[in-house]
Amino acid sequence: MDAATVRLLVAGILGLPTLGFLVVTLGGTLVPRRVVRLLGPGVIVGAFACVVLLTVGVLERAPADRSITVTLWHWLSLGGKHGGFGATFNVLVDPLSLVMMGVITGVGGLIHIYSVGYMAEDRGFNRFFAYMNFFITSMLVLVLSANLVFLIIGWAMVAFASYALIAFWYERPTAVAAGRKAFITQVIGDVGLVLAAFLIFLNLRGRSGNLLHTVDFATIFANVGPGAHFHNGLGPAGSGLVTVIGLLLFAGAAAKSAQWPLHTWLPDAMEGPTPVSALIHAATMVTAGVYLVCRFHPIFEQAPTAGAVVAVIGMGTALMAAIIGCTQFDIKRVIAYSTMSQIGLMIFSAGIGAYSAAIFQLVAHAFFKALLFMAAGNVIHGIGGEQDIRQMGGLRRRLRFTYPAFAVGTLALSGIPLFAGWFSKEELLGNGLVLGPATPWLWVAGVVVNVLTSFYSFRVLWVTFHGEAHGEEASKAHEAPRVMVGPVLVLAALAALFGFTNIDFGTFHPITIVATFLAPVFGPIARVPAPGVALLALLVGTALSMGGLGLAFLVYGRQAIARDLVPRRAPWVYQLSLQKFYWDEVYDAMLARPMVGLATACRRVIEPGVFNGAVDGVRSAVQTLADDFRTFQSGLLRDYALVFFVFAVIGLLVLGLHLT
Amino acid sequence: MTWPILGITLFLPLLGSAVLALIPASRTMAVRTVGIAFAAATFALSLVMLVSFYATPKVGSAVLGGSVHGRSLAHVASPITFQFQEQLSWLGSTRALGQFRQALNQGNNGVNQAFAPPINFSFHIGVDGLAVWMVALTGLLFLLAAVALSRREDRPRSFLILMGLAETGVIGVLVSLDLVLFYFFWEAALIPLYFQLLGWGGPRRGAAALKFIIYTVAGSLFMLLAILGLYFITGAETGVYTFDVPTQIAMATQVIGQHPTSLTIFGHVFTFLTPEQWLFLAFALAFAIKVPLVPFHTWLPDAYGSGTTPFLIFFAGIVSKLGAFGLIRYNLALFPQASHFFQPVMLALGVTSILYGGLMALGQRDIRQIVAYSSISHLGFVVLGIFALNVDGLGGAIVQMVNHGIIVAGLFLCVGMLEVRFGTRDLGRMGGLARPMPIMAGMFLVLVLAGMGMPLMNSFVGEFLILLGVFQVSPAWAVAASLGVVIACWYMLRLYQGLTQGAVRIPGTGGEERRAGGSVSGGGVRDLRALEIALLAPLVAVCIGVGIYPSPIISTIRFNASQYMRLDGRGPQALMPTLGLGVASSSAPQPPGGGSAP
Repeated sequence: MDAATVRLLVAGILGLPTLGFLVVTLGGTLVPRRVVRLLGPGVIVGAFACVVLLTVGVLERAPADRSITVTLWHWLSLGGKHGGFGATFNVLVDPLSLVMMGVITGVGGLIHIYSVGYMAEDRGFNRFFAYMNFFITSMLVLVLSANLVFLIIGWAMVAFASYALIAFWYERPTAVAAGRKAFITQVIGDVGLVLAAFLIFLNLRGRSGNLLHTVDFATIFANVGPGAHFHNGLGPAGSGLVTVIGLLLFAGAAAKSAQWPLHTWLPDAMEGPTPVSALIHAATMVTAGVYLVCRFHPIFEQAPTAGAVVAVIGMGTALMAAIIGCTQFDIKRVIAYSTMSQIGLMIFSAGIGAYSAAIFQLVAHAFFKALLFMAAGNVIHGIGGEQDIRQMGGLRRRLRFTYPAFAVGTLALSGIPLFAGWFSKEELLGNGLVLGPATPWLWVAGVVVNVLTSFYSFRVLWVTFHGEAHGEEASKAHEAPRVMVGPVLVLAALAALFGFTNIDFGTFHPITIVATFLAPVFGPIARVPAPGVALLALLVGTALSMGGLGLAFLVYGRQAIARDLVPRRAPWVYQLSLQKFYWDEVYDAMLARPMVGLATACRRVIEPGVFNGAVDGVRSAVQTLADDFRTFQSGLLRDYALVFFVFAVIGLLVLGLHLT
Repeated sequence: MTWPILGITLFLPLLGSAVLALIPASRTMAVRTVGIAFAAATFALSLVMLVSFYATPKVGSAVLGGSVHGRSLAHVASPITFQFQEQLSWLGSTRALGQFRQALNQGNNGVNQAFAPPINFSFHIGVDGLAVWMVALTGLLFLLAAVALSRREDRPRSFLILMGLAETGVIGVLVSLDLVLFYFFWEAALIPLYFQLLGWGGPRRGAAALKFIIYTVAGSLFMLLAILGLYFITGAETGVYTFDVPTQIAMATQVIGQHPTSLTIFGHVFTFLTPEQWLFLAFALAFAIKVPLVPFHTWLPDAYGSGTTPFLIFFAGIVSKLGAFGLIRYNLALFPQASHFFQPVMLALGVTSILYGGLMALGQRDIRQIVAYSSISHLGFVVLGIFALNVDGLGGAIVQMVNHGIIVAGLFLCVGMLEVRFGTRDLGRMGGLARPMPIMAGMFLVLVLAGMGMPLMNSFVGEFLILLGVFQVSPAWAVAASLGVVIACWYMLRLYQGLTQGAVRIPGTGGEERRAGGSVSGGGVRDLRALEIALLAPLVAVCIGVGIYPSPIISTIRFNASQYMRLDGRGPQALMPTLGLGVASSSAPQPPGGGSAP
């Protein structure tokens, strides 16, 4: 594939969603709904077609030659001679960005089609598709950028699109507040990324020790690799500088991927329409953090401490979110916490250096989690907007397509053998036995996460679809229209079958197609567990995951174990989980309120007291002085005589002193 | 270009005022048409200059004018290249200067008390990459203000006449290349602004106008003293008494004494700042008030709170940039070593302005005051960039000056449109306006995003470069300033969401609030009219356009920005040897040259 064709396809990938966004935004309500209905999903499907063509073109090349850079336009240049800043909008097409683009436009296209049905009754239909198309553009800029500046630009565009879609129903105060929280959290992450970019730009040295002053990925990664000393790259492995850069990058990743301590926005983001949750808060935006860590793997490989922090925070978040997920009642919030938890696993995997396993889980997760959200959307749509699982029940008889799809999603999420999640999660966890900090304890934590995951997943499945209908709405539930069922079934097929790309069918060796494709980007993995150990871990892990399923069945299916066992026996554990570890309260008390208090203090005390006070003080001093002097001009002769006399004496005294 | 385009641009608004004065005030239609026509013509001329400058940013008179000691300065490089220069001798003819120089040559060591030095100032104007953008911004904002002048506004003719005077004053400040001329325009611009503030606007406008004028004039007086001080100090050192800015820049960086001044009291010797540092402080005070930097900002909330919308468009949009402009053109260029000396102070003031302005914006309920304090916060970024003292910071600061002019004008326009409709500025009484006014909400959103420094918007370019510049000097200040970005996101979202989102709340004219339900489309509120859209559209387009493709601004200013930065006395340019002006050094109390920086 020649350069011109690549350029054309890249222009198509970025241009088509932009076109959809511009037409609908500038046309506003003048654009008829039936046009938007075709245009909105159409441009995304078109972009997906471009991605497929581009992938085919790239596959024609030799594996080592699959990284293509396309220059779009010069952004700015302050002249490199004096170390001034400069950046160009370059696009990087390589296996990693192709996988990401495939997920974004592929799953994104399905979600757009689904939205045509889900949002059909909404009066903001046009606005919705404008935002959704803008989101896809932003996400594509993020993964396509070949330098830090446009990565940051895409990063922030995504944050804005996410804000706009969370607060889509802007008349709900909760949606507005959730949008604001998400946006501000993202800006905190952006600042981390910007500072990391500064450090790299100002400190990166070439092989001969010269400062490179670049933000270009290719140059950065070519120079930070192994063999860096104090005089080149970003210093030797483990140096303070490269560790700080790694941690700052991870601050951006944590904000986007809802990892502790920047995680609290994600559950609130469920205020947005359900297709938004599927697109942004399951399949694409929240996985951008994983992409970032994987993209910057040369830096994290140089910064083992930062990598260890990433791995521990990822696993910690996974564990915390899984515990919270067990007690929530809002169907979308349970799925949101499971997203947080699963992304924690990906972040863990990226942190320990198993990048292709992380990306494989990213793709598999995009399928089954978008599936779960969209199936949940069908449920919510079918029972008139109710989201509390206690009001559901018995829906399996009424939602005859959605139920099996949701079940497939649950099986995949829980890591039940032969479903996509089983392949991805077991591969991911197995690496934890030999890589990363605190082996094998993080593996143990991961197994616990899996057990909890299958427990809460099946809890939702049973409470929602089995048993008796609990609400009036639930007994009158109806299946969603075909335009919503179709994409769900496609995703169900993918969630069920995608895992088999993890097996080479010729030899049954566990060589993955995805990993092979990504190998030119990431290189070989540092270490893999011995085959026997891996098999044992696989068996133990799988058995325990099934155990979680069984436990959920006993509690919610058979009702052999009382549901209030934990709340009764260990109320603090239950409360901790139900109240989401109290992070919202902590941040409110430690950050939000002090800030508002400070602002109020500035307005009430400092501005009038100090600043205006100083000015008023000068004014009143002058006023007083003027008033005093005014008494001289009384119009009475004796006053004038007195003033004359006093000043004459003073004058004489001064003169006398001066002469002596 | 042979015809004096810069001079025409400068005096065209003045001519417009004169023409307006001849039209009867009762013919408001004619008055408005003429006012808009002159503003449009000025803007068009400024664009012609901008395009020409953009095409050839490095061309321009690169030499100093005139001659010294009979030697022509035509071969001496000007420290900063200016284009579109025009120079007319004004006071102090060249003949008088020649006589004076002759006398100097006859004297032994260059100081001859028999001849008083002639007051040598001229009408000298010209633009560099910084000024050419500011002039274009001035043209745009005054045009928008003329168009935005409401039909119901009282005494439109007087307002437009004063606007013409103010525009000439502002352009004069930007293009003057003579210190006296600069000071003249600096003060002259204040007078129409004062009367506009006094005559139109809210009930407390009298107090606001008085506070503004006293504050500004107080600062200007110090600047006047410093101008005279500079004139005599460099004159005594070199024998060339001149107010010419390029010549002063070439001389001042070399010859102003670097030894501390001292004062003996009862036998104790107290050493103070060097003369350069004193001059720096005097200029900086005038500019810091104009910017304004915290703690010199208290005139701003009052003035912004009481002015009318058209007034605020250019007052907030361009007049506040004059302070930042002055800091670059005069403080940086004339006093490079003092700029280094005071860098920590100026950075601290910049960060204080960012954070304090942000916190104040967060605490306000008055939507105008939110914009006013956000303006203080944004200009803190500009000062921060200037005093990073590197090309990144200065480039970012210049971009941000243009950006902020655009953004704040747009925000005040939006706020003004809401005030006209609802008669209130209370954030708590309005809400959910996206439902009845979707076009307003969309355009307002772009301006708000630009205001919070969102990537792909214009101010991201500026703030990114500024923070990068500051980071090179001191990562701690950069991190503190980036906290301001987070606060900006917070208060801007609070403003935007409070006005456009949530349940529809529309304050009634009769004092009773109408509460519209979720499905009611906010009865009777009109979205933006075509004229209002036309006013906001160019601003919105610039916000996005500059963010996506900032290269035109950067490539226009790049050359001059690097010139400003090489003047720090440590750079490669050593002007004095080529000037051959070492004549007075034998009698001077201190050795000239910048090597002895404190």
